[in-house]
Amino acid sequence: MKPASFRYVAASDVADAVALLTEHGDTAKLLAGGQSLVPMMNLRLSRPGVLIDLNRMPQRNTIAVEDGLLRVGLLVRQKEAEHSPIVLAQIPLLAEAIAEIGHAQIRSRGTLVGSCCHADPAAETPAVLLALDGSVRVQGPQGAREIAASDFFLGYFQTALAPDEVATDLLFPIPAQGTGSAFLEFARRHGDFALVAVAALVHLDAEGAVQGAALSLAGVGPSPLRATGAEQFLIGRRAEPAVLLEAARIAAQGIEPTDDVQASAAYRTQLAQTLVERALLIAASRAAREVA
Amino acid sequence: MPSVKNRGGIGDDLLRLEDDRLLKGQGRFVGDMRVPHVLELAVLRSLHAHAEIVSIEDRGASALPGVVHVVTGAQLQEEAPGLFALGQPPLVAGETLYVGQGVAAALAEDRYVAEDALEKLFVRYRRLPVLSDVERIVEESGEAAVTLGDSVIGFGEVEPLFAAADIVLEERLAIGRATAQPLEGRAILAMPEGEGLLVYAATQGPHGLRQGLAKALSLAPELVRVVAQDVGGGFGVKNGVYPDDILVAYLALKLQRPVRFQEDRREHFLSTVHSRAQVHRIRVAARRDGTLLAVDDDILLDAGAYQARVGYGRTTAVTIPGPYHLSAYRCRIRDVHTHKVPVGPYRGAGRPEGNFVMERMLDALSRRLGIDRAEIRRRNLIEPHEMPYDTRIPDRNGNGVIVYDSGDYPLALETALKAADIETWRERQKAPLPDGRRIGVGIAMFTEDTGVAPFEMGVVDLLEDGRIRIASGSPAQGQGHETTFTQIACSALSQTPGQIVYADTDTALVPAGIGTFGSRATVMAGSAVHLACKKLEDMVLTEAGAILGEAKERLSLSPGRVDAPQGGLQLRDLAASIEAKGEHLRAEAVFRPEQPTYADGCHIAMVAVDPLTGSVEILKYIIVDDCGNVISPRLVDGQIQGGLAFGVAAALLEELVYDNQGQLLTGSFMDYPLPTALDVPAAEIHHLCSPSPRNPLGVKGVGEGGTVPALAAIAGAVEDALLPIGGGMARQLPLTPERVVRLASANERQ
Repeated sequence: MKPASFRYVAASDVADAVALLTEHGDTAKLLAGGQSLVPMMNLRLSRPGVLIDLNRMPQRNTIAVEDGLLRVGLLVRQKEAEHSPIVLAQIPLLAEAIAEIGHAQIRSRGTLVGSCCHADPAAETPAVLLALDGSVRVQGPQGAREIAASDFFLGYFQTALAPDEVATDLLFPIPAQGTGSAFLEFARRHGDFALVAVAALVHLDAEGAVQGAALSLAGVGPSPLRATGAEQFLIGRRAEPAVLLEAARIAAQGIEPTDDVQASAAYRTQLAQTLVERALLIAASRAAREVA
Repeated sequence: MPSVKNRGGIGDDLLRLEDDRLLKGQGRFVGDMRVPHVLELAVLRSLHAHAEIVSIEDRGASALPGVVHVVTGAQLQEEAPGLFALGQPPLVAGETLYVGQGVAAALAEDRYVAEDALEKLFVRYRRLPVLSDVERIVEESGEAAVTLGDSVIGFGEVEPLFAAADIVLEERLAIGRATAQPLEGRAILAMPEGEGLLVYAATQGPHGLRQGLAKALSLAPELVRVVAQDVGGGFGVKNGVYPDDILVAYLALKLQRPVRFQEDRREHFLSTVHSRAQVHRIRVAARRDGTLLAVDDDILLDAGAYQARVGYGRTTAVTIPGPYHLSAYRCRIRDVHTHKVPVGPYRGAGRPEGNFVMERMLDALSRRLGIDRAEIRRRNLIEPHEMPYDTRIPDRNGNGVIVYDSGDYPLALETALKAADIETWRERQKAPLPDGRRIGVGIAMFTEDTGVAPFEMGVVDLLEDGRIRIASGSPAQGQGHETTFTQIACSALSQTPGQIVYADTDTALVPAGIGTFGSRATVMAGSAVHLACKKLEDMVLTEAGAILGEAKERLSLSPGRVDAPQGGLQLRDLAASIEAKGEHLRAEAVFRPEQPTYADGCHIAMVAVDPLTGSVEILKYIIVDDCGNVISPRLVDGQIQGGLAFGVAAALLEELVYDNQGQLLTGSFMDYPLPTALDVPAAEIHHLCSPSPRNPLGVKGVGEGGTVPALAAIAGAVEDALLPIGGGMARQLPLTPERVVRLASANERQ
């Protein structure tokens, strides 16, 4: 479990990182928190020729609200976001999700942007970004662009990021007033990769009917999934237990997990239904409190 | 922090003497040793469970800068055929028999370069059929199935009792493959010294390692010196001689350079012995009132590719009857050959499995007969007035019959029931918790043989400065021998801990020894140290008597002194005068008991189970333990609590899952969960004390008692939680969330 030899370069800023990526092509890897990359290097599953360290860049740890979006910079550690007053006030769903990531030591190093770029199908941050219809801001040789979360996550550890691009920010739309949310995850132990994780948002109108709903699931496919059928079912209905259960059933019917050593597809499907139902119950009750 | 008092003798509550050193990072582990010119070994391990090695091509491995030596199994066999004469070869020359078996090795100036070299070795394999599932193997081959061991033990005639019984229950029960995960992997450093070797090893048995290495290398045993310094956990798997050990020793001798192997976690999963891995077909015959009559078990043990160095199937077999009366017993154990890592002992070494099946069958009987789980146990327990109790079970070596030495099993049960406040829990579990979870209560009792194997040796020296050095053949892997043995010496010699120097187990200091395993160190080595101390006391008093002109009977020891009716002398002065004569006081003692000691106890687990997700939370855990006299209260409780962690792991978490091609699917901590502090409850521990008459300290082992009944107690509690909603019997461990969900919806009707 010793990494193959590699060259180490510290990028001075994003432009420098892009230049280094352009120079070294796909032999290069970006190092942010290193919580997934370094173990993979130790196992020699990843063997970059050049490791481009982003951690020396100044001013890349911003958490800010801009134009109705919460922007999280590329070096924001999970632990910083988890305890950020801005995150807690604007998108408590994100803080709730981050608390499920690994252990405190991992969250102290791991970054939100890095987690999205790594694109583990069981990861929490991508599921939240997808549920909120967020996007990833990236910079390449041709300049900056934004990629919607629904286009960003392409499959197991695959994203729409080009080999010469650096993801610089995550942009999370801030939910409307009257929205309740919940993040629930089931893992073998606290800190393990999720068998299934669910991000749920329920927006209620003054009469208690569902005006908008968003549900995303992690761990049930190659990348996080939106349960659009269940979301549509909920629109206009009252957020009652029977309705939420039916939505959970629809969500579970819409996934096709595969068997693996931790869980069979059937168990994952049942787990998804249970967690969606419970997440919706919590989100709806939080929304009701917002409305009241 | 509880107050720490007293002088430091037996029973005093000392802080661990070794912790100051260990917590400051001053431990001396094999990996910490700085050795000039040391070569680090990396082993290329087979990717296939069963395959012929057609060829291994060196495409630049030997030529890499920093690489000193590369060797394949075939080359090794040619140059040193003697290494292949014993059991498992150091490297495979022909057929690989499991994924992870060594096929070639590289020595380099550091481990990074050695691993680089392995990547430049290209192996061509021809794949061969793989044996993976023991039940399928036996189903397909029947009695022709290849076994590495096949034996039957028992007493009495079981069949007539089954024929006449009111109730016969039969079940298939299974315990998953698992292995210990010490913080420190296997580690060994061999340095040429004269014609032989000086070996530092992370081992539980330095003398066995010495013997194994000497035999493999055709050296006289005295030419191999093995020292076990600090060892970062053993739990059974660091005993005996591994192929990598032989490789290290051979290469150090051949190249005349120090060679070290430090196992990493990936190869730990693939090459350190696995354990448990049993499937039982067990039948129990009973009367309608719940009286047990006979047990008949047929165990298939997934033994892996090579004969286990220590077979623990028989240990399972002798554990099954436990604290209960039986009229007849029969157990067949087959170690079935599969293409997997060989098996060996792991915390409990077969006992948790045996306890699990017996206790599960009692729960099944309880359910069938409508007799409460505590009551059905109560009706079958051996009574204290029957001690010593002849179980009629042949002992593991087949030399005699197991006779329990002491214990009050009914008291253990009643103490646990009272501590658990079981009636309140029975009331609470009638309704689900507000979050939908169900409460369950599990009870398991146990007896276990502790302090096994033939003998242990203690060596005690009066040092020149008047302090007393103690050593034994049982090294510590974190258990705290330094504290425990110091307390024993303090009591034997009326000293305080500052007067005692604890020495590592070193074959040059202790001529013979067995090691630390099977809950034996305090019983065996502790007794040997005690006896050696008593001998030394006599020698010291004799010498002091000569100097003081007093009969030794009128002298006694006190901290740092020999006291006489008038005056006395300092031990320091006595030691100096002895050394001045060119003499030295050393006492050696061998403790060789006829029979092991039998510890016992009762565990009660209270759990909350989510029937929809399968999560299990242990709400409360009661342990009643009887390990006889307690030497170090804090260490005993630590052993019990730590043992429980292994029980939780076996019951709920850890499993080495193989596919039908012999590939390990759970080969990292991502897929092989160990319990964390969040998963293991702080047990409420109660002690009973039935001293063993079989050793001078009256002690029994405690290293495994925390583990043995925990599997059954937790499984029983989970099952109990789900019974009201139609749940089935918990038959297979670990109870992963998915298995719990299936159990919850089993809809079994009895």
